[in-house]
Amino acid sequence: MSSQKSNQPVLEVSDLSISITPKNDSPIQIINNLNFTINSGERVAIVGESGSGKTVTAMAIMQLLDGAHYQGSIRFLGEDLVKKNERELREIRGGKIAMIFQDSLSTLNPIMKIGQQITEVLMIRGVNRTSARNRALTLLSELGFEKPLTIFNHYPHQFSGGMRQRVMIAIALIAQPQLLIADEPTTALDVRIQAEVMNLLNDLAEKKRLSVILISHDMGVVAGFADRVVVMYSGRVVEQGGVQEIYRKPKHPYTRALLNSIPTVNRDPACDLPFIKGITPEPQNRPSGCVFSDRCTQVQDLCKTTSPEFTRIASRHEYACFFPGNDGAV
Amino acid sequence: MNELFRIQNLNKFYGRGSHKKYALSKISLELPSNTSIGIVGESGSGKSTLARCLLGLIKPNSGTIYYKGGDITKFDRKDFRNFRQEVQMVFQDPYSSLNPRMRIGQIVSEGIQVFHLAKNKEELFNKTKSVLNQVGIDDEMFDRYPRQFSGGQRQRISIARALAVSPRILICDEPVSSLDVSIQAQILNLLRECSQKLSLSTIFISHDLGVIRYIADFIVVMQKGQIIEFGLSKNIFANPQSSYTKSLLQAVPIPDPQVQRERFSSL
Amino acid sequence: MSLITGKSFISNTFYKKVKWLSFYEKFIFAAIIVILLTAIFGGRLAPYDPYYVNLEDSLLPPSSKHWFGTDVNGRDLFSRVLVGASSSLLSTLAVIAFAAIVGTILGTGAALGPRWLDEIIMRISDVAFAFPALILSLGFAAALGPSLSSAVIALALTWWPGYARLVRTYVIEIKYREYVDAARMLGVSRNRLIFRHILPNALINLYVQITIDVSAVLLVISGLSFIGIGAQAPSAEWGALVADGRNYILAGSWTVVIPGAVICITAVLFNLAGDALRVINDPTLLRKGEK
Repeated sequence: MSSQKSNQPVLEVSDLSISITPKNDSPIQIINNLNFTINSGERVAIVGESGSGKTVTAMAIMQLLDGAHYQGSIRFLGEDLVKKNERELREIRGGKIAMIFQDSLSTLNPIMKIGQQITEVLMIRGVNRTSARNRALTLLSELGFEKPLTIFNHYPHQFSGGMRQRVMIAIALIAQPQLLIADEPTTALDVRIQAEVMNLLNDLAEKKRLSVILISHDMGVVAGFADRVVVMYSGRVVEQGGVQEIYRKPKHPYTRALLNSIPTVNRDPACDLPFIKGITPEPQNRPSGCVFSDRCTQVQDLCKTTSPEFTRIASRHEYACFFPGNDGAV
Repeated sequence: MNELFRIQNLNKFYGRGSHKKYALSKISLELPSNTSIGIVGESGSGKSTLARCLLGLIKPNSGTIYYKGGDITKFDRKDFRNFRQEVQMVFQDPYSSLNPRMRIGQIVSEGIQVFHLAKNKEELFNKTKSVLNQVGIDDEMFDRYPRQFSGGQRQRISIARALAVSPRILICDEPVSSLDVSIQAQILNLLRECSQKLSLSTIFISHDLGVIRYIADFIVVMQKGQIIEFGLSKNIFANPQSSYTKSLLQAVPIPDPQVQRERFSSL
Repeated sequence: MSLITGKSFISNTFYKKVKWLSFYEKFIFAAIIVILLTAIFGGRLAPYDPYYVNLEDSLLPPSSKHWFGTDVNGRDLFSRVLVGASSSLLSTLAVIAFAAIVGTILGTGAALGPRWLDEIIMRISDVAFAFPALILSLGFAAALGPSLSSAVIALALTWWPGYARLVRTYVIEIKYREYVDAARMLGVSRNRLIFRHILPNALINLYVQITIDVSAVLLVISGLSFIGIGAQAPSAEWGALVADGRNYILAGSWTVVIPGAVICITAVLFNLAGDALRVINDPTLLRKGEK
């Protein structure tokens, strides 16, 4: 399908910083010094809470941020997306890089039949109508729809949430992209449907050797899906590594605190739930020094004045902290 | 009478004739007092409708709800007023549950005024201050508007509003669903603390089984307007009886890569 | 302590909002204020008596003595425009005040009351809505004799349904908000619920509509005066001024162009102000300095 070398990374984000300048105001630095790589067939999850910058990152990769100023580079298959013009980007979006969103009801066109929405992706790329239709029907049965021809003529509001998400996945995958960005794809779904959709994504990613970026705040969903995890906080990466390392041996206090504060079904309710005091700072109010210093329980004086550099401890496990947790298990 | 609420054959539907859609279907239940109760279910299960019926915000089509032995629809003015004061609610969406044109000091003190719980302005102010401080909101923020607060802070204000009238029962309808994980933990602890310190009975509604596990001792599982299972939380989680509950528990993602991957491979 | 019992309608943050307006917005609002002040005090500021006929000075072009020139009867046009501001604008505001107040009452009643009340009010407003303002004005002019007041009454009677419908929509949107439920749960009385919780939030955008409507109603009223069924001579209402000058376009174009331009500029200013208010009002925009 693709002729790329398998050792060239699909996506390489280097020293990416993004700032926006609102009207009548000074520029705000929303993303600081982002570095991560995605190899072919790899699944990377970007996790963080609101204000972490994870959705901004996804939009940045697709170059969908209006009025943003970029520093650094976003290389997709070797080519820097930041430097591309709108026409080139339009070909890439939906084609080589596809995206699925959280709220399927508002991202699908309510007055267009879903068959049309799926085939449109191919037809604007020059595929003829019949061929596009056939490919769409095949893909829909792959996605678990039993009567693809019947639902072809349905409108989005006639589907349940889970089915709409599958439709969104169909639209995303029809042009056989190399990279799929999924922004909180299951957050709005019931837990059982969520499991089905994540299973589906899992299967598809395996079958089609898809590289996936999963953006999520749900550490459970991420645990089942991702190969690697990038933890973001207030516009920066604080830790990234393989999924086993991040969950079993997290180093950064934020990662540790985050994992600790999740109420899980197999947790003993008698123990109080540890929590992180305070709230994620706005870009304008970030503390000096380490970005987590005003909420960290192991904060020291050094943290308040100097921003920590990354320390690498295994191949591709790195964190930015002067006093990481060392006792392994969370 | 040991129970908090006794619900008998409750039905609530929307629409007419053959197009009736049942939000609650023949619900009969006794909710024990002095415990924290969790009502769990997916969307469309009817849990929010049930909560609103318990509060008297929605009138059911048939069936009765008994509070302290009395039918809440038959309460006279005085009884209904007492009922209102004793049963309070924290709503789901922190962004639409506070009147955007009122300052938070006003929002929290309104209940105290309505129920005449303060004899003069000074007492009103002190009570408001006390409950807001209890939830972690400082004095200098009293004259701010809701939009100047974060989601977690707004939920605290909502909780303060409910606690200000000294209720006996606190119903929380998905109070942490729209909050970040770390803030969620803050609010859950706050709720636990408040219910213990103030001897409140709490009824907690959520779709999140992990949250329910943490906060409820007694749970009710609902699906499509019906009660599937109920009982002590630890029993149900350890040994779910119905296949629905089992499938729910099976689907909840655990933040442990090993466990999750085993699940995928076994499917 | 007053923080707890303070009024909710007028807020101190209004003054903070004014500070952050852009130059364009400030200019527009300043111009509107000037126009409104002229409407109130115009008569007193007029350099000449706007009704004094002096045929010697007939049709003088604009000069330092007569800034807008004179009309065919020798009356100073600038003074007439200033005085006419009262007639034009106050009658406009009268129409809108009536329409907004009646419309709000009926719209709120329709939205919050029982179903049958809603039906009745909406059907009546449908009928009134369908009535063409012009025909009704002609009817009133024929019955009561043409005058500015009959035009105002006719217009007011056809303008209120728009507000009724709009307010009904606003109120219905608010009535299902969670904070309204929360207030009910607190045992808040029906009146308090309506006047403290529902209306202040529902009507928050009404003034945008009102501002834009000033522009529309002004054009209709001056239009009616122009065709002769509104303000009558010797009124200095702006539409009447244009009518006065209509026969003398060649001899003295300023008698038509200037009042026409004044009407046009005023209408545009109010329209732009309405747009600016809509933008300012947008709750999705966070203004600098808050939080």
